[in-house]
Amino acid sequence: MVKTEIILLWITVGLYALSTCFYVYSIAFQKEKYLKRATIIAGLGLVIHTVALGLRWVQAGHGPYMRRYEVYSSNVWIAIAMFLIAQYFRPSIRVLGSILMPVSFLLIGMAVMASPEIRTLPSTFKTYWLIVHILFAKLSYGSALIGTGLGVLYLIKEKKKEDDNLTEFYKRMPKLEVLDELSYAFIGFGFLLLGIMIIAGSIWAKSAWGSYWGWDPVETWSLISWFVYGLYLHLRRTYGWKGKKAAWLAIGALGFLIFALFGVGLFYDSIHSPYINGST
Amino acid sequence: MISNIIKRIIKILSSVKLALFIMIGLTIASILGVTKLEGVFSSWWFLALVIIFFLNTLTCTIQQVRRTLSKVKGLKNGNWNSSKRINKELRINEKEFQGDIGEIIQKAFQKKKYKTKEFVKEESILFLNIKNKLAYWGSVIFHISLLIVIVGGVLTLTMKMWGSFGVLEKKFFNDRHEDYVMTNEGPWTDHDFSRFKLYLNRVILDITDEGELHDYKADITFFEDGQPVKRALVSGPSPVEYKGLIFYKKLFGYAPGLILKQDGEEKVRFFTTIDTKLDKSQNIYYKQEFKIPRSNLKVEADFYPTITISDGKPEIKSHTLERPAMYLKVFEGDKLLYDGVLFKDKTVNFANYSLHFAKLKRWYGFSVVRDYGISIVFFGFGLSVIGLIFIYLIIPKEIGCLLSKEDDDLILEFSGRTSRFKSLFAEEFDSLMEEFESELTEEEGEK
Repeated sequence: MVKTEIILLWITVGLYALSTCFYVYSIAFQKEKYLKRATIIAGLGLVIHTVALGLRWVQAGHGPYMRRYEVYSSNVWIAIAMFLIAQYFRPSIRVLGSILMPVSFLLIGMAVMASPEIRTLPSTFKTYWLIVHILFAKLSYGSALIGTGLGVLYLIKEKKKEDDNLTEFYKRMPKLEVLDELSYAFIGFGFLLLGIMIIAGSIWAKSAWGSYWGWDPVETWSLISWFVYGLYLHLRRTYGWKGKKAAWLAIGALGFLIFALFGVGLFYDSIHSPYINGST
Repeated sequence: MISNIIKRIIKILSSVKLALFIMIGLTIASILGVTKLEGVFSSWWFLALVIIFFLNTLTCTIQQVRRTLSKVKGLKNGNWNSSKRINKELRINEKEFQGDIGEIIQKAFQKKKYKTKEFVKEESILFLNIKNKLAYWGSVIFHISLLIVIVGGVLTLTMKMWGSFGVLEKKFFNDRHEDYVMTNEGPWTDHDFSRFKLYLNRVILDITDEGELHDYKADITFFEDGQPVKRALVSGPSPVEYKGLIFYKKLFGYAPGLILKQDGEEKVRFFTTIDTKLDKSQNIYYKQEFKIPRSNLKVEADFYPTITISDGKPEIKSHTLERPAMYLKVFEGDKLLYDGVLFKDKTVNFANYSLHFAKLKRWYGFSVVRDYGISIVFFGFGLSVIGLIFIYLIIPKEIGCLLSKEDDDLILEFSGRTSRFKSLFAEEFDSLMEEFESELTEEEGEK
């Protein structure tokens, strides 16, 4: 079963790579028909990815949230699933795949390079709060990634407009102000999810160790990311920041979130480190 | 004069600029705290920052409550200004149109989950359609939740008691303040203990088929006035609460019972607790240095539930108690008297001593917490989620429809407003108007 799961994951990597190529080709050469093909391939990849993760879940006896192999793979799954749902309801944002798929491909590449060894779940992990905590961490990451991707699309479209080079391909994308607000909406949603992730983590920490807040590095960096996103939302709501400024701020804020979710374990000794970044 | 100063202070405290500065300040302080400086989170200036944050949030919240109340009240009374809003005007010929326009408007908006209220003005009728009215309170709820979390956090900081203790199997622990090893005690910690007794019936080890230790549980009974009152099981995911104290799993270990003889005569019988430690890979091992009572002997001991010797070195083969043993180094002063393994129920002899490994018990270490802030903080957390849902997922929307008459025409002047995601709302407004227009045209056609 391990072998099947690994083979399926490698097929997923191949499909995501192909989808990435199609998306990048599509935006680089402004060929809209490739967007649809890229999305179909990404969807197919997601189906196989789902089976691979399902097999892993059955085999490990716990969700895919232990060690780099599982963590990165399931994060990619959530991000792509969220993107596919979003583009289903608003096909005009399909081009977002050109930003999201390369990132996802990179992450899943890092996952398959890590050790696929299955680790037993420590007894303190056997609580529903852990599932809520991890699920919302992944959802917040997916939401922030999509929000930032929309911000990047805004910057690209705006640049094209400034250069008076707004071709049909870009015209068919949502209006600039709509892109800006969609980015705002996804980031606002991500802020909510990040908040729930922090809360669920603190409830779990309380039930496991008696303290809902311990200033653990990952915990603190998640709070820092939350503050940074809070700052973004405040600046938008009360100071009317939007457009270019907001898009750049979203890119900066995503940097904090990525560091909190993936980077902290590399620099700090944290209770999360063995589970998020441990590769063996 | 004084009232001016107070007004000025309130103005500064309630400013959004201050909120932004504090958020940047808290972000930088948190980065410093987690990166370089120790003690940032317990420093006076961090506490001052939190207090200013609290005051800023409080004054902002009061202002928000006032603003929201006046807005809700205004909408309730039909105060509607169609300027600076998204607008659309429809004209219908009154003679050709015989339906009830009020009913059509109400139905159309009802379909989109708007609630309609009708206000008769001087020369017109206003149909005010509002969706997600409760969500006006989102920001207020979220800010109140922040205040609650801060209050809970301060209570935790000042009143939390966090300690630990260990107890041997078949032994009692007395709930007395002096018997806890305190990890953290706030300045206003409650020192009035309930003075019950905790009895450790046994330690239960959850060992996998591969011999790996998965969990360790404590079967305990609380006693009051010599009578058992509650029996419970403390495990990794399930702490036990008793009289406001929460007992968590912390550690467990072994306590070998040893008999020391000198020149064939028994000198002492004792239990010694062996400390449980974790190596870098989170694997458990057992190690302790201790002095043998009533002697000059000092011992360095490693304990093995089931011992195996690999390359001349003792190792833990399994966590099941199949072949328990200790690896001992016994010193008298600096002189090494014994270096080797002592199995359970066996005796080793060195110099004029003999040491017998007679019994084996387990001990359990508990973390104990009493924190009055927890429930307040969690209540605040719950409220913050509701607030954020109202802010970012349930957006309040208002569409006013002013119905007036000009010659033979009925004029429907629509105007929409929302406080967030205006462009997205504009799209929704346009599609709603299109639908509405086609509905009216159909109605006209039918007539």
